[in-house]
Amino acid sequence: MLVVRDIDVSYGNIRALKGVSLEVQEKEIVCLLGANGAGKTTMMRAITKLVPVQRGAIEFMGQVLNDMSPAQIVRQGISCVPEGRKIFPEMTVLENLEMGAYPQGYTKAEMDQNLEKAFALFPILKERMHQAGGTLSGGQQQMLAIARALMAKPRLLLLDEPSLGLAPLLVERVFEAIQQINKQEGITVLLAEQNARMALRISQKGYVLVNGEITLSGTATMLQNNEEVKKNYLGG
Amino acid sequence: MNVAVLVQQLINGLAMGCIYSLVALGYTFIWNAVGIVNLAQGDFVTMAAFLYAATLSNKLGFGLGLSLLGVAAAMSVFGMGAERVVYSPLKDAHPRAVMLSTLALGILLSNMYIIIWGPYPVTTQGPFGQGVIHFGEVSILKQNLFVIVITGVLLILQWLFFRRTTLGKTMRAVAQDREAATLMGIDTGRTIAITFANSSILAGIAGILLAPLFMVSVDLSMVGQKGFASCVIGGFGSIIGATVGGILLGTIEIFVAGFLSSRYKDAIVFLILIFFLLVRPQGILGKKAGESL
Repeated sequence: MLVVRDIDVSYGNIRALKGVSLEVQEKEIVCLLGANGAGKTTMMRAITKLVPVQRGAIEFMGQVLNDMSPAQIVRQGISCVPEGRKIFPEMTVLENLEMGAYPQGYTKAEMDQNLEKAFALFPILKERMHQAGGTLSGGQQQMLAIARALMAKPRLLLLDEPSLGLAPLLVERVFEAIQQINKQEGITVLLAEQNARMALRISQKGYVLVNGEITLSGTATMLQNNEEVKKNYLGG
Repeated sequence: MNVAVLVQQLINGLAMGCIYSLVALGYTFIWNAVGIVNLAQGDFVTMAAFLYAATLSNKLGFGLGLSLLGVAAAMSVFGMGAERVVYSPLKDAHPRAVMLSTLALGILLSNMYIIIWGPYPVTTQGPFGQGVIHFGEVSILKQNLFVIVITGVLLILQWLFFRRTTLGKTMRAVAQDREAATLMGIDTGRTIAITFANSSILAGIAGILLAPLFMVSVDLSMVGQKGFASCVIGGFGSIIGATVGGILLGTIEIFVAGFLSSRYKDAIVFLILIFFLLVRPQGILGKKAGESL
């Protein structure tokens, strides 16, 4: 479904991604593991076209994304939950969700139907519907960011560090939701995470990114049993 | 001092303040969207005042409604053009560079006005001329009441636009987090151009409202500085702050002119500005001090 072929991304003189390739099959959950600064966020920004790709190709459903704008990429069916959630702080929960639906241009009835789906997934958002996004707790903001991305009806959902700064119980809750989205809606997921234990538990496949290069990849079970991964990412 | 005079002055001050508020809102929307102060905002007001007074009203004999439409259309096109020329090519540069380019635009514009409309001040009657309404002992210029009513209507329309329409909401989204807005598939470049258009329309309406009250000349761009002071007093970036700051400033100014001396009114306005910059730089309603430019 998503094929990233040998891409390079640089910020000035710093090469953030060096010849990275990866593949995500339809209906899979694939995780991208790595420490801070390994290039996970850059990967997400390259796919969503927030940073230009210097070399290589990114393809989605057989279409080359390289020359598309961020807006065109959303319309292809790729939504992103960015690092740090980036909800609109002074807009209400409802308005945040409406912005997520922007590329679809729903009618009133379609909007209501999609809002109901979002509220079914995260009931707390319905309670907080008219509250400003910035006043929500971290966990609620993460849920809002995920719900907002889903409003565009994506086929592929990119999640950048959804566990960041959340209490363990909330991390659990967010990962459950990711699994639910994948199973019930059939949405493919590419998940960038530092929390390798949680990520590998729900993924079928994983890639390990170190200093802008993929050093290891394989099935989740294989990675969970790999000595290198155990030592560096799963705490021994 | 009698109550009638006090009420009269209060309404005059309110009217002046309404105009400052419109100018201040023009600054605020651009500031929130792109983090720059458009130093040509006052010259935008002058452009609309000249266009209305000298061309549409005096020369072509347009009525108020047609003039409003004409000025709004012209200012929105002009605003988007200005965004393309002074902001868009420099959007990745330091905000100071963009502000300098808006300053340059202002200088260019004020000289253009002299070429187009001549060096002499222009006067226009406006819809009400010097017409006065009496409420008991209180007599008020119809134009001043008109300014207050139009500003009130405009503030409600702006509020509805930003709360109820998709375009208005996308403009808020871009102002709050441009990158997240990009991820939502919003065309941020277009949205910013529309923000400039909206600010220019507000400046344009301020120009139309001012023209019958003052002589229209390049010096009218002084209201740009007053609008800027209103933003600082109310809290830069705050929409309510800009409105409150403008009304407060206009009222203070009229009272100083009425009860002290009109010679010192500008000086006092800028003393208040300096006072706020020193004592409360975040303004009345501002949340935090912005980073220094």
